[in-house]
Amino acid sequence: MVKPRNTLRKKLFRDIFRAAMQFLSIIVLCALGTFAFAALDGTARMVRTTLNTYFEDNNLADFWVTLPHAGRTELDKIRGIDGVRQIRARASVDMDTTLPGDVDVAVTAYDGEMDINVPLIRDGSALDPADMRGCLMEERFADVHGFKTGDRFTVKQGELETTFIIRGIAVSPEYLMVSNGVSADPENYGYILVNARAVPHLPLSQIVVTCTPDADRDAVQSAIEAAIPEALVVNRGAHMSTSRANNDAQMFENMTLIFPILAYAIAALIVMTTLSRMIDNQRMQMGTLKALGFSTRQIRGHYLSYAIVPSAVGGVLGTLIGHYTLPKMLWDALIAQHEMPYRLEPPISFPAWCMVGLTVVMSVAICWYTYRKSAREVTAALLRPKPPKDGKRILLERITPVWSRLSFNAKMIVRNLMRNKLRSFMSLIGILCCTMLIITSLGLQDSVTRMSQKYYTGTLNYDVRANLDSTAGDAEAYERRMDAEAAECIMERSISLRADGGSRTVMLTVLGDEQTMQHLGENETLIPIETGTVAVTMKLTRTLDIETGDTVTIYLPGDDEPFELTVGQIVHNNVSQGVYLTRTTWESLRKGPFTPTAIQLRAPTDACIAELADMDEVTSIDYPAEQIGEMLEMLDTLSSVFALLTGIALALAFVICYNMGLMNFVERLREYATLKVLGYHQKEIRRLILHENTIIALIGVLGGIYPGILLTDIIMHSCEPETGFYPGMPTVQSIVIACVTTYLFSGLLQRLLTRKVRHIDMVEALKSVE
Amino acid sequence: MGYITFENVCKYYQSGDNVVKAVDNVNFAVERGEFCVVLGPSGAGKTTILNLLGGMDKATSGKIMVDGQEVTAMNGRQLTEYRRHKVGFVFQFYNLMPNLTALENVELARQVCRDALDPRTVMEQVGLGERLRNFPAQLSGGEQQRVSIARALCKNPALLLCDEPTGALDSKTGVQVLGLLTDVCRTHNATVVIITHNAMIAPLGNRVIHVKNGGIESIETNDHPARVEDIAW
Repeated sequence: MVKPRNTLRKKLFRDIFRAAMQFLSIIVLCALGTFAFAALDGTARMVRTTLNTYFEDNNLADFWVTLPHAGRTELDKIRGIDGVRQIRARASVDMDTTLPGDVDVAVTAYDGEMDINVPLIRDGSALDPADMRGCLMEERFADVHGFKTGDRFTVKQGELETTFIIRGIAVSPEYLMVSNGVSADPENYGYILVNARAVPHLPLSQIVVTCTPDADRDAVQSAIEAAIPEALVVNRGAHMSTSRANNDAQMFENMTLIFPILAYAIAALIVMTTLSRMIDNQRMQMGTLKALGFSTRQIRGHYLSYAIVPSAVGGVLGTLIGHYTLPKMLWDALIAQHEMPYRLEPPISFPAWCMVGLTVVMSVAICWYTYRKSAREVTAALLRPKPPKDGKRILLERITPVWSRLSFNAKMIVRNLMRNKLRSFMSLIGILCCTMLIITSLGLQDSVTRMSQKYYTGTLNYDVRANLDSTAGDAEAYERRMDAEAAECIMERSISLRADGGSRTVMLTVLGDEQTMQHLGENETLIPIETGTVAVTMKLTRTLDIETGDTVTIYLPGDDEPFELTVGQIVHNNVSQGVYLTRTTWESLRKGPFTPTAIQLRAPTDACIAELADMDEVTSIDYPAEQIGEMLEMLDTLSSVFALLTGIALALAFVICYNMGLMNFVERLREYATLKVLGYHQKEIRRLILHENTIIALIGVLGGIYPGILLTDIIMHSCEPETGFYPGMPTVQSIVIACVTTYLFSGLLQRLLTRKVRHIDMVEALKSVE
Repeated sequence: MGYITFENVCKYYQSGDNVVKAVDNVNFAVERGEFCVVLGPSGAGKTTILNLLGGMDKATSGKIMVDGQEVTAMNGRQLTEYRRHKVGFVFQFYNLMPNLTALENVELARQVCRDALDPRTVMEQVGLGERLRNFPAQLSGGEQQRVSIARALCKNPALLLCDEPTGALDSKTGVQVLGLLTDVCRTHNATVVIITHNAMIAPLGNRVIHVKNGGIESIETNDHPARVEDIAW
């Protein structure tokens, strides 16, 4: 005898096979949610695990302490602090090279063993602490310039040339991002590691510190700052290279929160409609099974399998595909900017499996809910077809002037839309989300572009910036001498800013009293900086919880007398956070003369540029217009995320709209057949269906605009580092493109669907209901 | 030559290796304005005959002429035009649009037809002048069938085809509906073809075609059909 269980299972698979499209759409939707999560979660974990392992194995410093002289006293002071595990004195300076062009390297000289920020040797050998002539060279820099282990490499400082023998090619955990500007540029900038004894003329000016695992990092930082007031303490959060890599990992982590929630909400709605329809269609068979004497448990198990099978298949499939494809792609984008040591691939994480579980549970719950509705009916009732949904008078009909003006077809369309509110709503959501995601995808690119343009042409209102070294002369002399429309000198210094809400290492910029080249007002307007008070950037005031009128303390590195100032105004800078003083304020503080660190020039002549290039004290020349391009290169990291987003959006719209359209079509087959018998032409029937969907598409597209703008802003802000303020706003053009794309896409889909009208078999469709 | 003629009409269904002969070599003619009853047990091929006549299905072979037009030679588009302007259908299960009111269901037919009658007038004719704004679900079976007849009549068709119009109705409402149909035949001068398995209806017809096993068993004409009130149910 054949067991009934087996027959039921046979029925399950036949049912699945017959309703392949609907099951497929459930699978796809379940997969979409887990895919998005597994991909982003996988990427985030890949980056995190790699970074953590790298930082841990290679003993990344917790603090970089810059001070005038790292002598025995200072070292002892720090070593004595509770929680400090290890310290090492170093010298660190940028030097010129003998390579053609303006190629600089950062030279880091260790006083002893390189036991903090241990370089990872790629080729050759590690540097012996006693080695007076050897150096380790950064991998990318070596690749680009063709250096190999054993080659010689010469650096220049002023007239002093030093030649090293490359003992090994390495990467260092403190240089994930090798740059003296905005983005990595191995052509022009790299680093080498040497022993301090090889460069005795360099003063030891930095101490790297690691803490014991359980130490309170903030307490240690405060203790160091207290012990050596003139020291500038940079933690991992403020260390540019480390924090940028952390920010990127953070970005993916933030996105693992945003996207899957979206994907799940939508998937849940669609799975609900599809499953409830399928169960409804099965009610007569359910009745038959009951009548045959199958137990309730067997029948329930059978129908719950409708949800378990596709959602488990979809969930697992999505997780696997998401985990094994996308993180690698995103990683490749990431390493364009970051020098990663290796790639660790953590296994599919527990939360990712939880998402699969959640998917199954969600589907089963939905299925259970629908099943219960049907199961409660008596067997006999189940054997009768479910009565078609009744027509109802809708609200609009009560507004006679409007209703009577509608054409007959319009009335019919409106009634249909209202009759299947849930389904119309689903399709609406599908279109809405598609529009929203495409707007977001385009909007993110717009926002980054706009932001960099605003910063480099708005906030920084000059054409050229020449960076000066410490031998710079008198500001007025430069300003007079430069052959440009205007020239203004500024002085920039790293300082430690302390307020009640915490402390941060930020840039202090001293501007001329009548300066016109840094537009720090809201929307890049020029506002005068008040004399006598300090101006703080908006984001920084939020981080440190400062308001105008508060008092902040500023510690200058190498100076043991910090000064206090009142916050006079809040200024706006979306890319970097810091504090601003006027020259008069600075000079009144008596902390030294106003020594320019950069000259900003508007419309300089070629001769002027040439002159700058010849000046000994000019270390580099920046062109903000070119820096926009560099900043946009960083978009490459994100562009694959954008492409993914658009792909998901279209897949979503397709699955939802096709599913809903098909369901609608099948359910109303009889009505369409009747229309056909009445003599309606195919075209007329198709037009009826199309009009219905056009209305939904239009409302959906329009409804998606605002959420799209909002989501762009949310994602931009979730990507911003502590030093940035990234507002997100798509351009009108992008919004139009997103709307038109979605609208056309949905139209195309409907055209595809309505082709089925031709194949309606009137005889078959109108056969008496049995 | 009649208004409707079937000449050697066959309809075969291929299912696997089996050929099911739903209608096999059927010949008959119906005159204009006749009330014709096609009678036979279920499975005899009645409905297939009606579907072929109404242009809803294509014959495998043979020739169907209606009012001088060869229905069997029409393409899809022409068939739609034929159904649109010439034929009115009444179904056993009414096939009303559930989300249109009674009146709107009738208006649905007027939408596509050239010389349609006024829907309100037709609704009053079928005795539903008071129920215009009700939805099908709010109407009884007999009322729904009357709406369906009104929908067919509204097109002012030359040919009214009814598939078991009383099949889902109790005898009292059945009689009402039949009365309505015979009236239509007289007052609108339409040719009415009714399909039924109910022999009680046969006396109403000018012509009664007995169908059995996909073929015609016999055809009888009746110059003085019985009145609806007289038939026993």
